[in-house]
Amino acid sequence: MQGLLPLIPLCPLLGCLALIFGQGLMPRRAVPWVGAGSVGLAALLTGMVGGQFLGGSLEPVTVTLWTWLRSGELGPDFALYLDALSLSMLFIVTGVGFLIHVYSAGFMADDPGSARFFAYMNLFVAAMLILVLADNLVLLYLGWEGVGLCSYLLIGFWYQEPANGAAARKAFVTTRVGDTALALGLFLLFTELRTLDIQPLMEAALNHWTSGDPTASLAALLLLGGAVGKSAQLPLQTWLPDAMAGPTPISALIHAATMVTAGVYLIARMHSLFELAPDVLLLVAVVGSVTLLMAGFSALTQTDIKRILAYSTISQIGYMFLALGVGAWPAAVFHLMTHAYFKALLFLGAGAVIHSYHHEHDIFRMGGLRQRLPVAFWSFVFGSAALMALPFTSGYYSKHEILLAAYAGRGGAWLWAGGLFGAMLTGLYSARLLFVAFFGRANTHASEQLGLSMKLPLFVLCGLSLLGGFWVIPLASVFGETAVVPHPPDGIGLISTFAPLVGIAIAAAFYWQRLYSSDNLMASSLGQPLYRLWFSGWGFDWLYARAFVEPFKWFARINQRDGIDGVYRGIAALARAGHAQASAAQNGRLRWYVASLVSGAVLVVALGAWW
Amino acid sequence: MLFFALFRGIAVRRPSAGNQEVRSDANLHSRNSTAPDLVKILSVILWAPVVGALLIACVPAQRTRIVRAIALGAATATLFLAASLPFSFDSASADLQFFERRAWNPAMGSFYALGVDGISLPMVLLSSLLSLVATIASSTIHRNVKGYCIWLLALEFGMLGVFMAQDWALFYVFWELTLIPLFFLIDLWGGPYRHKASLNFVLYTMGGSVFMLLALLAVYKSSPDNSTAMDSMITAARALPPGTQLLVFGGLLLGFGVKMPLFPIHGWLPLAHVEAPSPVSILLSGALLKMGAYGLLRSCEMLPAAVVEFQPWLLAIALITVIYGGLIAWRQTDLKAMIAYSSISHMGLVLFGIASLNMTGLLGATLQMSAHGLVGGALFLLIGLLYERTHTREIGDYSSLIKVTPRFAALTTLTLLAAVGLPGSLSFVAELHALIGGIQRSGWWTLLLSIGIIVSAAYAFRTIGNLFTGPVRPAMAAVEDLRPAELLAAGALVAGILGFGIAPALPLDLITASVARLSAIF
Repeated sequence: MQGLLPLIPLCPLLGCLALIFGQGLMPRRAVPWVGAGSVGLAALLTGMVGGQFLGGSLEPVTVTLWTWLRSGELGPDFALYLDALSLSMLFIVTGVGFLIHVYSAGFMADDPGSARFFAYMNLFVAAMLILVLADNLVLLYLGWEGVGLCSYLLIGFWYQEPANGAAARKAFVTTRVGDTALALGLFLLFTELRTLDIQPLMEAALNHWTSGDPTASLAALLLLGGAVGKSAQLPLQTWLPDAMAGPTPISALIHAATMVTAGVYLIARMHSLFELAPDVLLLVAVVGSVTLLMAGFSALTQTDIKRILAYSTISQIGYMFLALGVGAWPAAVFHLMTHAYFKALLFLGAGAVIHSYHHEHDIFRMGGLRQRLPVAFWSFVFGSAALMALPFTSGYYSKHEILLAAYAGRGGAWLWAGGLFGAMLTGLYSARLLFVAFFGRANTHASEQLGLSMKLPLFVLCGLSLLGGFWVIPLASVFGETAVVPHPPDGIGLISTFAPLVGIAIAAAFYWQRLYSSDNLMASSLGQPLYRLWFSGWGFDWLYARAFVEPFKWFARINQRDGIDGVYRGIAALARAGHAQASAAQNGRLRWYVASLVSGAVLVVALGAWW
Repeated sequence: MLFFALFRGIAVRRPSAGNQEVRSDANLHSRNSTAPDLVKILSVILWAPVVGALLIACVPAQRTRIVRAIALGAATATLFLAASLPFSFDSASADLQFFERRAWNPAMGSFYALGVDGISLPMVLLSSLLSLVATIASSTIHRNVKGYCIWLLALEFGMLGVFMAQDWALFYVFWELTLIPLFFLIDLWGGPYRHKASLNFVLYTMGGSVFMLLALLAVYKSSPDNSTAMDSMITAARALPPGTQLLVFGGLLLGFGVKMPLFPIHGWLPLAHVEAPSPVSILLSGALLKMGAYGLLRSCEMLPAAVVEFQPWLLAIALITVIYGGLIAWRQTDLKAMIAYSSISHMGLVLFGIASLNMTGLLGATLQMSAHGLVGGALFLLIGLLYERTHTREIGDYSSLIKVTPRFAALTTLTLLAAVGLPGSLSFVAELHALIGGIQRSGWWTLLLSIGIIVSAAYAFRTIGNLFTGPVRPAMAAVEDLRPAELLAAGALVAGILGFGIAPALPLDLITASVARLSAIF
């Protein structure tokens, strides 16, 4: 197992290098084989390693590859760490990643830049694998920045459209704000505890700090800053809806299944530190709840199929943060896994719709796709069912656990109520999408032309979305047995189960049976401003533009010419003026010279006499 | 007042200077561990460019191909000789190595003394590497090639001398020697405002050097050995009264700070970088700025007490330099001006590492000197080559170059990412050390530095976006990609940035012992 583990991130890395250096040499048909094959190999290796690991004693495994840098006390290595938590992530990254790669082979078949596409994708998978396998925080940071870079490259993949470039830049700079907080957190931890290897660090933290220690809280807060940036949570969530500018498989892989959950992984990985900072932990729960509600409302108003899913992703990650915040670590990771299945399915289904529908994104211009696009339709049915957490789907089990844990947790009924209302919203916006796009009056010009490489991943993900909830990796070896949640009264569970159905019923009334008109609601005096507020994502873009972007631009503009130079220009001007004065005195008139001479002499004598 | 006192001091001491030689001799050997070699390798490296320049002088000016071949040969030979140094360099020792010395001006107690330690050796390697890269990039120069090549080799001679000199008088001569080639290189082969740029450059640097000279003379005046050898000067400087030490360090800081450059004495740099021909920009940004940082490190070694006193100010200057340079870089529309201001920002980080005055921070500073040497050199090389093809440096004129010039795009993007300090690059290792070192001293002031980090992401990605993406424009549809020689030069720099980023043990090994010795003083 030790020997195989390093090969897992190596496979996609080699695939990436092969695609970069083989550009022009490799036949076009080989490109998807290399791109998807390398990830498939990684998935196969993960299966072997995972089988051995789960069959064994679940003892963590560390593999040190080489000494990265060693100077003084700072000594991070290239070392990989495998436990049940990183194994869960490995399955998602390589497994779901492989399915999305296969799908991309069909989706990007006609794109002239497909080699570049697969190279970036492989690089992303390699970086993500390093992130989840990293044994120390510096290596984790390497993966963390690596996935951010790949996200940048892939959002702006269709580079001829300036809007895509702007979205990519926004994503990178916004997450970079969070990354900087993370980096500062690393520095603080190193300064305080003299190590950045995660396991010794956690031990040192437990020995060094008692619960509620202000330094521990500060460190946890800084890490949380990194997590909210990467996972698109309040207040750094604004980049994710714009990130939908990238090709749809990217949205599925990076902006739904893997990268955006890195923040959840980080907090779960550092859970011992967060347990030492109960206040920060409560903040995590509050951030999660508020984000899941705000994003749910925004999803309700979007008309772009991908933006609905993007807000839904923000909202679902909010659930994961809620779970983390109440200490239900396994529930958070469980929801991360099921979310990866069904959200990847939904995005790939959306990709199938877009692919078959001349790049149309507006759900109100679709309609009646049920008959014309059966594969996409059933993908959406299964995916939405899991997203809404209908009983017996994978999403049901994970979200149910979270809601119960929230009820039992420190925030108590409030957090639970928020999550419950969010579940209702989830039902509402998912059903709205389903009814508007797939039911109703059939629209023209759409015919399903999906190759096997696009259909097959959809089928597999349909299966996972339905049944994935029955397959749980035991995480007790990571989080300890204490993480098991006490059971609240039965009524709570029942209410939680039925919340999404309320949402579906409302959606059916408005968008299927059309008993009420949503247009009237939007036109009302209260509805109109609310609609605009939610549609714009609660006006955060506007606020940040006013508060940060404009002042930054203003300062840079007024100082474009480098104001300090003015001082030196002043000195030069002064010298020039002095020179002008002096040369004016040298005018060749004898009378002036004599007069100056005499007055000078008089002055000198007078000064002498004075003293 | 001080000025007159200094001259009086020298005048009084001069007659007795010759007798002091033996004593300072013994002193010089104290840091010299190895026995003198038969082949004085450092001298060979130092004078190789001069030999090349003399050979070129004998060739008729119209035979440009021979001239170029000799220049290339001399630069290559210098690099190969320099590259042999690390193999026989004892990285466990902090002592001066390959040391050689002969009396130079006995009346003044000055020596032709050369030697390298872990701090100067990477700089020697960097200077010779970038000189070769600059020579390769000089294929775009067509006017008066002979004169140009001679000046370029003379510049290499001066730079290598600065990093090898173990005598402050010799150091000062080399320091000023670099000015002359640079003045002519900018003034004769530069852009439209070259006269203004070269004059500005010389006036700024001379203005700083005057204070540096005064400071050095003040130390020399009190030297018991009456010698300008660096070791004697260290003893002398540390024995000065505390107030004088502060003044002396202030003078050195001014002299070296102009070169680095530091806020607010950076005004010469953007103009000089923009107007200089691009091969000269490579050297200017990659190697010459490091002379300032290197000199500052040596000054810290000389006057530890004063540095500790100055520390809060140094940190403040460093923070302002990082943020100020980054902000202005973000706003520039001229690509070379953008890189020039980003260089200011990066050199601010070097000062931040120095000002931490601890092992980690100083390691970060010395690593950042090498890292920025490679990054700055690569950026100016690539942008210079691009300019030769498109004849514009306006960022807005570019678009979607990834389509026609994928190699340019890949290498430039990688270099800009390294400039941002993305993990996997040598810059990241350097920044990590500098910041961790700094946070131990300056605490939460480092938060301000994070603004600089975010700003650097903003300007780097703005450049990447503007150059390589966007709608296809007819003017940008037929740009030639890198030619093999150019690919080799740029590829070598980028490979260095990435290779040392993944395996920083190699450069760290070279510098650790010397930095440990330096940090032990404080």
